[in-house]
Amino acid sequence: MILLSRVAERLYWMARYLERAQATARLIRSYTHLIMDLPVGQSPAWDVLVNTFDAQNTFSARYNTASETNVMRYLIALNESCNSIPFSIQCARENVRTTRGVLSDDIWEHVNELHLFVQDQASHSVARRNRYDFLNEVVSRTQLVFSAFQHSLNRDHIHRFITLGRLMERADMATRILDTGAEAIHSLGTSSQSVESLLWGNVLESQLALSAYRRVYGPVIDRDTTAEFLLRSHEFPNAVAFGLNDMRELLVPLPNSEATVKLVDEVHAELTKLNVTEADSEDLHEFIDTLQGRLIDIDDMIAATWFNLANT
Amino acid sequence: MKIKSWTPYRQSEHYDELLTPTGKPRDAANRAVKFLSSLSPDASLQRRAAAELTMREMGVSFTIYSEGENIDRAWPFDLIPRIIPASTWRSVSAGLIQRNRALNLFIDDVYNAQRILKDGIVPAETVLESPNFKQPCVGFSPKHKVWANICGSDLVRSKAGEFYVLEDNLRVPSGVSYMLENREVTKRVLPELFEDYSILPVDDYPSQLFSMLASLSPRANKRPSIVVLTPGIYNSAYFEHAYLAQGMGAELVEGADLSVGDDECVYMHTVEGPMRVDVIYRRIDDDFMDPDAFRGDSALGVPGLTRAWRAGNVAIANAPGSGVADDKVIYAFAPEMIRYYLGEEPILSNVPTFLCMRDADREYVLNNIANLVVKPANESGGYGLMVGPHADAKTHALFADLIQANPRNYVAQPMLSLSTAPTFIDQDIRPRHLDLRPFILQGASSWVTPGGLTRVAMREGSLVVNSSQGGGSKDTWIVEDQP
Repeated sequence: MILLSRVAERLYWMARYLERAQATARLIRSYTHLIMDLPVGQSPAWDVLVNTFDAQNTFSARYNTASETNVMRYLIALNESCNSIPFSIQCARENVRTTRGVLSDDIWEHVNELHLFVQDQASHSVARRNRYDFLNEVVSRTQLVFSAFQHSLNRDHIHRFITLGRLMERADMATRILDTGAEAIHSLGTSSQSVESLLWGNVLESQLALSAYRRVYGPVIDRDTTAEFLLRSHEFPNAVAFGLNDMRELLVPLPNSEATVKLVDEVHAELTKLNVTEADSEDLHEFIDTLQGRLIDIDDMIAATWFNLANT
Repeated sequence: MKIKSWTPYRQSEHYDELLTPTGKPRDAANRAVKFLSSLSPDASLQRRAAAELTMREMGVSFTIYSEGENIDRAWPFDLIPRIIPASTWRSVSAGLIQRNRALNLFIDDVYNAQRILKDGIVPAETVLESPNFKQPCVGFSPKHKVWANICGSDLVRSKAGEFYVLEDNLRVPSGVSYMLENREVTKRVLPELFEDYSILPVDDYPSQLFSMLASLSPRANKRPSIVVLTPGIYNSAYFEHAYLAQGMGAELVEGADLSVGDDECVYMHTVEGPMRVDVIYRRIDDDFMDPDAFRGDSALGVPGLTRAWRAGNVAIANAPGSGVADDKVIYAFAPEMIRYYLGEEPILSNVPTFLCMRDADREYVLNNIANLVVKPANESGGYGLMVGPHADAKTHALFADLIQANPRNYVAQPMLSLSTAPTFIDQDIRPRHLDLRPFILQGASSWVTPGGLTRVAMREGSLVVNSSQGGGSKDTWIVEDQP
């Protein structure tokens, strides 16, 4: 089977952008829910969402205050913002458009329809009234594309690079959400104790992890078990450890993959180094920060091994 | 506005594809017209909307350049098909194959023995001094001696209904994917009609293209590795490049994906490392293909590609230099070529063409410029041409000057009577002019698409069918005659 390096790279990024769009939609959806549940005065501000994307600078270049409307405009409606849902979908569509030759018609039509839907609806979906429907639609339409990946493609390198992109983005988003979630909850201090379980539940919910968590740890949710679950679970697919395992499986059949497999194994081993119960909020933040750096190392090595061949 | 249902019109000024001069359906169109007139106005609007939506959802688009921006436009499509009886089509198809064989023999001749120039059939200077005559091609002959493997010929129909060849597009003709998508949409939106008619299928174009390209491979013993070379996503036909690559299971490559190795073979960069390429279906102009051989400033091409081609290590379709026969002056000699190389009479006629390089022709053109269509020899897409009867005296004078300054660069033709077909315009059905671009494949053997791409001038009275200038399109049916 032939797979051009350039095509492999675009497939990988197509999948990352779709996964990012879905994760963004889930995050906003569960955060909006959370805000509605919390007593006035005890809710963290909307800029938590901006912080999740490390987008404080680009956000404040455009808006003075992190009001709900501004943050929602920035993440839901603004085509030019590289953290918005329309931007991610547009990038995904461009990547599909340039790799249609190796994808199924089904995938192209779903992504194209998703793009048309987002272009049409995003600007009307900033207000709470329409927001929920819009985000739901984004989640289910991306799900449709993911399902087309699973059902309409051969399990070959094409499928591997697409899935690698998804896993990489998922791990990246999981660590981001855990990190900003922990920081936001910590910053509320003792005032948040009464609602802490609710807040951590929201972090899990945005990863679609709430019911999976409950089956393992029961209904009471705290920081330690949430972090444990999202970082180290081998049962839950959106957990980092689970994702690294999957990545390994996908990498092994790829040509010249030895070094990358080794790196993934190292990162996996490093996951066990944190003692969650003894870590204070600073320790947890530092650990996640290092982990994110290591995920970037894996991403760089994938690019150097398979994508940049024309330059060598 | 009151919505009307199907309202046939009467017009006898031009040949109409579906209706007789009295407004009755022609035999082959009878059942289609009956069906369309049976639809209520609402139902017919619904079908049109469904067609538009289907085009959008399938992502059928073309790119136009406007104010420095690339805009991806939905492909304009008119739901009423154009219907041609198979008995009529058979002779058109034979005529296209005949013409294409002669054109390819001509290209092979001018790059090698130049018999036709020496025998004085075609004036040598019209070929040798043309910018389309490519020096790097001299003394080479590709496999099967065929240069233009894919040709898109533009046909028009006279008042009597006779087909004429207006143009031969031998460089990188485009439009075939739209022919295929138009059929796809018609099947989805007017499925009832496919029960009544035996319509020749067009879907196997990608596999015909694949077999033709495979027949060019320099390594006959292996399953050839075929690529489609595109200038990239900003090209107006990018959609088609991707479409055909996918249809053939070939790789869609850009210049940067390919390189020429020390062994003078072409390789593509894959995740497994370099891999040899046997056949390149290039959708990029000669001048941009290889900075070593043609334009040095091209960033789109592959350095050394021409060397690899001449070494016989890779096939390129269409071969570089094929454009030498795609020129409105050379066009005028096509009937002569058919007689010269094949010893046959042309089945399809040329539109009468005055060559301004000939003194007598030029004098006639200058005296009658207000009644003629003047075309530059070397432009495509309908650019730079003047339609005499529609232009003012100032434009006439401008073109007279242009002709005198550079006679070789201009030809003139009488105003054509292009055929019409019923077309949805707002809520009504009106006659609109159209042409037809069938595609001819030639490798080890020849093949013609059953039908082709019908392009429609959507403005009343207009003859300009190019999509870049507001043209639309129709599905084209070749239907078996009823027993």
